[in-house]
Amino acid sequence: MSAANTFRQGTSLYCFQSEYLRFQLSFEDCMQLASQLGDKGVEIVGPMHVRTWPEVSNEFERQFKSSCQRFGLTPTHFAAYGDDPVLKNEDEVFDYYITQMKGASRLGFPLMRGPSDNKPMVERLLPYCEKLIVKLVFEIHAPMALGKDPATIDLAEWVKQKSSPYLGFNPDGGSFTNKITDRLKRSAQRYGVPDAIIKRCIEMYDSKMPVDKALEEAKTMGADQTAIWAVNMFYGQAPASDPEELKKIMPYIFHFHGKFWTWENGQEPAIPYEQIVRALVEGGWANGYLSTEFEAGGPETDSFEVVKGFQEMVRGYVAKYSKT
Amino acid sequence: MTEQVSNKGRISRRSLMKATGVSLALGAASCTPATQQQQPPQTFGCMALPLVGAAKPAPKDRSFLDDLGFKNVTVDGKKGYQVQLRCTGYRGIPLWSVQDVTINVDGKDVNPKDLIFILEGNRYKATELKNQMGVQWWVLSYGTLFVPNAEGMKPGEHDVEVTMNYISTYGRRSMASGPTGISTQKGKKRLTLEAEI
Repeated sequence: MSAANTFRQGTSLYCFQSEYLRFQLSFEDCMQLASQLGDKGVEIVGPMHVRTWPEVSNEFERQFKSSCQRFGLTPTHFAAYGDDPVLKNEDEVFDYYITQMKGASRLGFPLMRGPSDNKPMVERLLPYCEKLIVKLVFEIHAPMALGKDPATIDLAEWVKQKSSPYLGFNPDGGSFTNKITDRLKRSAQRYGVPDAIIKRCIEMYDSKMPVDKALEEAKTMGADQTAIWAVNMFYGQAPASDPEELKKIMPYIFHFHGKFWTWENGQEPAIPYEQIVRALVEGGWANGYLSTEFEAGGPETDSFEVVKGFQEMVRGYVAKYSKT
Repeated sequence: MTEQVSNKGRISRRSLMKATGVSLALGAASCTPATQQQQPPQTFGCMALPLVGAAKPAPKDRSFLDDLGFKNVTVDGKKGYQVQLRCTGYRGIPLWSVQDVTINVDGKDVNPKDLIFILEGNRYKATELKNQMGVQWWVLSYGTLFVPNAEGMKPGEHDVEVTMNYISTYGRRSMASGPTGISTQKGKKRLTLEAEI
């Protein structure tokens, strides 16, 4: 399906969440749909799809492997979670991760999401990567901005220095969001943030005013704790990473989350996917799956058709920028 | 097998099951290992199963306080009534993140100490959920809130409101956590008492 010497396309079962959570699609149905998309890579979300998460039961192991075999699916990435805010200490976080790594390994996933903000934890987990044949990938997810946020620059340097075959990146399309969308506006409205502050914040964001200045101005407008959160949230959810930055970490990109929310006229209006795919193709990324993560299903939406459309769009850009 | 299925132009449940059985048998003998990365693995006959475009069943209620399940019940020999709850995120929540659960029926608060929360058949005091380290509330599982009450709930419609506060697993910077890091699920509905069975 994809051009030679470039990345493949896969699907995170996260895409079908609306139908799955409303009991319209079973896990098996989702697997079958994934097998009719892209290059048949499949990603699952640990706590969403595995009833016994963070452990993987024998029953689920067989169910998953049987399904992969039947539908010709290749496991790509196991979405794991740290959940630090509800764990007591680093030993508990370590156990949480190790349990998930063992599960990912049993299911045949070559990649698992690792803790991008906890290097000592990664050092502790690293010896187990080799034993379990699971690589840890760091998701560059909003509010992180690739190449802008000091934390991501530092992490990229560290991964290069470590130069371990078991450590890499999973940039998330959401980190390239460059517009404050209606979805974000609605979320602020839900918490009662005044429309005047929302409107002004969007103007400030669009004029590329730094977040500190935007916060100052919001305070002069009488922003309370909730409104301050909203300003941070707007800037955080639209970090506007520059797709060209991908080229700097290209050898370490093992996976890419094709996140999107809005699907209008064959496009996600708030994320520059053409530039993203162009950077990946020009950078020669052939080392993994671009895994679709559609995040805005609903009873009126056929998630499968939306995902199919997104993957066709990506395929079009791959063809456009591939030199044949 | 699948050709035969599609030639008929009409797919029955039985033919789907047969097709799956054949492919399973084939798969055991001739499958390509799922770990092979170089080429997309071989696929089998059941690929023609027509899930895509098939009519979807009606969506079930997705809200925290479920439309269904409000009825009188007997739990462990105690009479009372129950409501059904679901966690509304996409990935469930750790049960031990739940700080409190409260229910108000027809304007009257029930003493939280009386409430029993039932998950996967296990009974917990609603005030002790935060001690259930390691218990995950899976996203497809309904939690049942049981209110012991010797007289049971009178038939007909009742105003039911359930509130649950829990620590967001995402931390304060996340949009999902809201402004405080404590997430609240609230359901307020006028529910009709269902028959006991």
